[in-house]
Amino acid sequence: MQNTGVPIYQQIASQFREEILAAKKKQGEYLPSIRGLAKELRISVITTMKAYEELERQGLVTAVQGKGYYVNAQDSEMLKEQHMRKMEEHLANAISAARIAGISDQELLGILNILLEEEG
Amino acid sequence: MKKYLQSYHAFFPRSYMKWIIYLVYPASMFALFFGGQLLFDMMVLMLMMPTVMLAVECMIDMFVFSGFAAKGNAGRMEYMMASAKGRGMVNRALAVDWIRRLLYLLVLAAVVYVASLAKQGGELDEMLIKLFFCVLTSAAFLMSVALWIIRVIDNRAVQYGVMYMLLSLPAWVIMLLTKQFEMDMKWICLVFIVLFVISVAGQIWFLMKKVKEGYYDA
Amino acid sequence: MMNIESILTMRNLKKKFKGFALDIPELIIPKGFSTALIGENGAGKSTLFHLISGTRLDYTGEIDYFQGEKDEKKIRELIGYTSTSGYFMPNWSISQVGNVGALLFDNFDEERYQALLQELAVKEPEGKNKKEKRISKLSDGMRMKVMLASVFARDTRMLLLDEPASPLDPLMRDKLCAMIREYIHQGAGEKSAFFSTHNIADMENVTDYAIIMEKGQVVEQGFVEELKEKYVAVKGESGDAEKASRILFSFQQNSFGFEGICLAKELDKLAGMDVATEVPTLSQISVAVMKHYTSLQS
Repeated sequence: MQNTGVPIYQQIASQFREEILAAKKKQGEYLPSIRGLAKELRISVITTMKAYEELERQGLVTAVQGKGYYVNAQDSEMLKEQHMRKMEEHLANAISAARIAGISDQELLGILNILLEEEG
Repeated sequence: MKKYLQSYHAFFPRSYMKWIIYLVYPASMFALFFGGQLLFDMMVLMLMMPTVMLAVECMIDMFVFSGFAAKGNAGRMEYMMASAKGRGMVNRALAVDWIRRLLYLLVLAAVVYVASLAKQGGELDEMLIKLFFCVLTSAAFLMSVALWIIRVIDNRAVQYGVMYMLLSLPAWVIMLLTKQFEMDMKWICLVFIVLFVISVAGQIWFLMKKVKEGYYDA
Repeated sequence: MMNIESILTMRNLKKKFKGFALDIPELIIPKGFSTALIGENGAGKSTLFHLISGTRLDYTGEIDYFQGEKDEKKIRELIGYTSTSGYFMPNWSISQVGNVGALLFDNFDEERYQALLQELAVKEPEGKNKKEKRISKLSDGMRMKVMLASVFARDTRMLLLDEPASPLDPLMRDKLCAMIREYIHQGAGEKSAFFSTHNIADMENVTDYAIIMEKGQVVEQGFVEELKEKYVAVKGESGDAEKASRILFSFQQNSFGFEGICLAKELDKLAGMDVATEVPTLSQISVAVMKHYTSLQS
């Protein structure tokens, strides 16, 4: 698990995200306590915390002081907007990398098109 | 009470030390005193017993508090040092140890006194019993000095040296004091009792100071 | 990150020996987490633990315990300290440690101590071992386990463990991590652990906050996840080695190319090189930091 190159906190976060999006975790339901989950998964508290913060940042859960994290209502409009934001962020990253490497905008668009075709 | 005894026993090297101190040692002393009467004159025994006790107490202490307040050793018991009650525990152990010793001295005095009274058919040999108390009180004082040294110096050879040197002293001291200064033996006893009390109190104060310094001397 | 409360706050802490000086202007140990103290031998880790545990009292500066607790007796009750040597009297038997523990600490639970001894495989179940071993006859690992049992048998608020993992075998290290995690979990944010270690890799999955010391000073500290964002592990080819060596925080060349740790903020200076980046382990970060400061000082 640790060798996959994806940080553990991201692995945990994405697992919870899938569960939430698949409605396995219902709206208003609390996630396991941070220290409880750390104990169960045999990882440090801070890693669990980071995973939950990641979920919060994605708007999937809300933190309540002293009580933990509960699952937000997942309306599709909001989700779409969230993914939009994420996509823009990644594209911005790609652009800045391209600028550093001296790749022209034309080339960049070309690469994007190729990737889109590959994905189908 | 239990707390006090447990604190004391924490310093015993093995659990069988309890048997030695509370049973084997007193029993042997009784055996020596009453059995010895078959071989020796009562007077010899009476003057010998305190010196034997001095030797035994020294040897026991070489295994109980031996060198515990020597430089470097006082800070070696971090479990006790980490607790707020650590010093209290050492203090209790030292106190119980001296109470135990004082009790043994008193029992020895009582047994010898009664035995000699019985031997003389109810009449007391005043001279002899005075001499006995002189030897006993001087042995008690020398004991406190010897144990003080044994507890501060972590070296077996030195500890034995101290013990042997002090063993012959009680008899010499009494002879010197009576012959040279013509002191009344009653006063000699009193002087030794006072010295004994000062020495024991001073010792406990000094050893506790050493334990406290263990927190500072890095 | 979030508002972190402190379990320990040290200010202007100074302690001098011959040829060594501990000097900590400010250090805060977070409450509710597990903190690792990392550093070379002689970096001052044990000295720091001595000061915190109250087994050494000659220092200047201040240590604030449990946010303003002043009662020394209470502080000592609430700290579960284990050291690297001279902890128990060598003549004590394992059960005697239990008796003495109950004398020394109000919160010592003798039943729990016995249960922990069995859990840690120090003692076999009742009746199997008639003869009790003395502390001086135990191996280093066994002695450590007795120390841990004596500390975990108490209801403390902070563990203060000096090199607990070193004398333990891999299985027991794993057990130790589980015990610390359980302690933190059951404390629900009120209990904290602070331990020193050379076995960073073994302890990483129980480390939330890391403090790296070098020659009596704290040279790096932070939550592990933050440190993993601050530093990046880099691998590259021989051709770029020379140029990379000037940019990387720590650098090592081998027959295939080079590898090292780069500060994340300097990562774009490597643009144009054929490098692979990875999230570093705490162990990699620690070694890099220690090497970096050692080379700076020499």
